[in-house]
Amino acid sequence: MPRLCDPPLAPTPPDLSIHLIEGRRRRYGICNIYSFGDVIKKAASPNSLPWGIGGNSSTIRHIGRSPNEIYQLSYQDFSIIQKSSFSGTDPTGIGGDRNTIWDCGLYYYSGSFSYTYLEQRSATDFSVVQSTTRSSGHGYGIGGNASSVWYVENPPSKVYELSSADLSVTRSVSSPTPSPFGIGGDSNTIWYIDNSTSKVYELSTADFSVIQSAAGPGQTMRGVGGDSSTIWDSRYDNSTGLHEVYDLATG
Amino acid sequence: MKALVIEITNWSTGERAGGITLKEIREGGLTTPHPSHQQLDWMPRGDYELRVVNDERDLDGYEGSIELADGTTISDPTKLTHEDHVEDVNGVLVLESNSEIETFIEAGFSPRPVVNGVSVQEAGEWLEEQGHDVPEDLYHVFAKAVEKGMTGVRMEDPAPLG
Repeated sequence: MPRLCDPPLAPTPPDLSIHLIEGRRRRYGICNIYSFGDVIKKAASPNSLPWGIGGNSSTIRHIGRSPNEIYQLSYQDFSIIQKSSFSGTDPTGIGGDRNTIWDCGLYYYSGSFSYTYLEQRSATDFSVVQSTTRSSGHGYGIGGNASSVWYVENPPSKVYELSSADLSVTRSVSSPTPSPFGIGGDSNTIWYIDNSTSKVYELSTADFSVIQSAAGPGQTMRGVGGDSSTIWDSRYDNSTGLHEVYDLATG
Repeated sequence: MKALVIEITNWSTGERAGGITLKEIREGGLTTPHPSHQQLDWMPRGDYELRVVNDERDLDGYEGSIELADGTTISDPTKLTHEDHVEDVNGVLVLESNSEIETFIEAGFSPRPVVNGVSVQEAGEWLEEQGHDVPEDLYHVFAKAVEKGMTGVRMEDPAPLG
């Protein structure tokens, strides 16, 4: 049975159907019915080759390669609210908040990695607002909010804070795990996934150290994002074709 | 510089020994000099970390002990030497100087696998192709791949105190 926070923030709602329970947990202060990383709800991704996912508690942005499309999804049931073809090649990450979109992807020339592109896109029509490239590594995840941008490369396995003004590097450090595949959050929170450990992590915004970790929803996680009260996660399993998006508990 | 060596009692909740809260860590009161100064749950030793003290906390109340590979247990970190091999940490220990911190980094943390486009699955398949047994856990798959000469993966020692 869920228990109330002490003191409760508001009366317990009468109906605790599972698909609304997390939202009501946030709204009414029912706490700790889930542990960090538990699956609250899930659905099939609208893309058969999903990659990045991010946003905040009321906005989900998602990106995939088959077809190359960018989406806004409903935070209630993951249905498509808006979608558009995506102009970039091999997209890997997306994040931001209600009014801000950050994305990244890989560009190959004659079969060889050439550079990672990093972009800010319009939250209205998904057009490119600003763009830059990095040839130093493969960018696999980007997220944050209007003022904070978190980014991971793999290889080399590094975590970055980028400037929201021009996407230049503010600071960086070796990643805490061997194979980072996604990052997101907000100014005070970092969610991070690793493809080799198959775990979801909370990292410190101060030093990128691990604060807590938990097993993710299976292997082959592709993207993560959200805000301090929400974790969105995406997954694609190459062997089974499983393509799903998740709402995970923040603990 | 002063630092704490902290036992992580539950990675899923982020619970640490000594009553250290997630709020203290999230707000930067305690920070790790480098990500290699955490012994994570996929690594071969116990779950613990080194965090520099950035706030004005009272350090007198912390208690802990260090388990060494030779079976001995010490509760005074000044007794630790560069030649020791820390297996696990219980509770919280206070390191009072840069010298004590540097000694703990050397004795307390494992080299980490650094991969360059190699997944753990690929490392395992490569070991099989070479006729080697494949270890069960991530860390030792990478470590064995390095030992057997696979390109694209190497082991990196913990970063010194910068």
